[in-house]
Amino acid sequence: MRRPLLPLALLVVATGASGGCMNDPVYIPGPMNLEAGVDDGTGALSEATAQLQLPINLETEADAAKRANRAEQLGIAVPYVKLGDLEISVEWTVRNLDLENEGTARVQMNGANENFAYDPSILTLVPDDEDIEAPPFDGDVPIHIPPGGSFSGVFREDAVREAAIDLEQITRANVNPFTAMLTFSKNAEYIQPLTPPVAGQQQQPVGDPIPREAFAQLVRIDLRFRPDRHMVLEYTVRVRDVRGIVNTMLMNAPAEELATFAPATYGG
Amino acid sequence: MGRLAVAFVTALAIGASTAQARPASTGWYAEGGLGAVTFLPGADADPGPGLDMRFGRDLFSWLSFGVSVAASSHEATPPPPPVGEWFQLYRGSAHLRLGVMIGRVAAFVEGNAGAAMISSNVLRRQVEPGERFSLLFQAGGGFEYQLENRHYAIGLGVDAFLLPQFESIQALASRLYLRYTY
Repeated sequence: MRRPLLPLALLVVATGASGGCMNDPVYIPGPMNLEAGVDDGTGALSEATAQLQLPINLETEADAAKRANRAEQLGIAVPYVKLGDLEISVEWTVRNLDLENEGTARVQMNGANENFAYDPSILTLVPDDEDIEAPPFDGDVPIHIPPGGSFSGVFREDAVREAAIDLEQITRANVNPFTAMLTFSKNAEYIQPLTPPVAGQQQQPVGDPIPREAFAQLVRIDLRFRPDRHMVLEYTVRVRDVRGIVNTMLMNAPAEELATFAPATYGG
Repeated sequence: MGRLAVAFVTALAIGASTAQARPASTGWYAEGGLGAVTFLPGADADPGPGLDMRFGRDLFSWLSFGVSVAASSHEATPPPPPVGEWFQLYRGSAHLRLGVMIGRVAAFVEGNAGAAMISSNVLRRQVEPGERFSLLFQAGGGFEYQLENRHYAIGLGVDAFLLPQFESIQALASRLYLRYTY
């Protein structure tokens, strides 16, 4: 008797469809909108900033032991939240609340891993010229928005991955922030630490390279919003939880279930 | 004239007996369908393509039961951000189907109960954080056409479903399907 193939084919398709559930994203809306571009009382235009700490579960004993073991093997500190554990992107929309005039807005993305934070607004990288601002991880491009209009954009997963590596270069390897931001490192397999910067001296390689598996991923997203008119920024952080360490309740998770990070601010 | 009438009636009788010689199979069956799922107002999602598979058994020629699994993919349309994000809805249920066959065409009504899973919380106005599953209630009907081969039929079905845990999202799932009865 000839066996029909239809049921078997349907079963195969069903199995494939169920596999599509893995690695699905979660969306974490910004807890509040950023409104700026109005007189801040000193005659200057107001800016707005936001920090969103990702709701990451406490490290389990098994994970901690595994991490300690790996750190011992590599001879270097291995972070809890590593590059590749999370794939993060930030989606945002700017709305021009001025109904009569076109405006320009800049949206800047920075952030922190579990050890270090990067805030370009407090850095002076060129002592002779304080007008030269330290570079952000991404963004800060002037965006023209028509009266009453809106504009949406995204800091993509690869940009956030690049930002995480830039932060490691800056903080663990003494790479100048300009150099880190202007070089393409998202596929880097290691980072070579350099000697601390000294005016008039070339930095030299020092110590063992830091392997990619010891790179930290960002666990906090910082946004800086600078419009020249009254505008509002809304954002959502999209996370693909590759390792399964983000709390399923997201921002509603009980604080005692979440890891607490206290990153030191670079240059602060 | 009388001979002609007799011949005509005889031909009709032969035709009728030929149709009866190709009855539809009854028993275990499998169905595979492709179609679309369209949310009713209240859900922040566009219509999307859907896949539907069913397995079951005909208890009688007019009553059957079975299980079904279905999946559909949709672009989310919540207030931005996010923009251009997609999600998937998976449904699994048990169903009961009542039908009547007239010639080669059957009409049926069906009811399902089961559960649904959504792939993300992008519909933040309908899906709370940490919530991925909902009960599923579904009802609908359709038509089926029996092919020459008594094992095969094709059909068109439309079902409405309700997901109480996702702010009672409602949607219409339509499908064109091929059914094989053993």
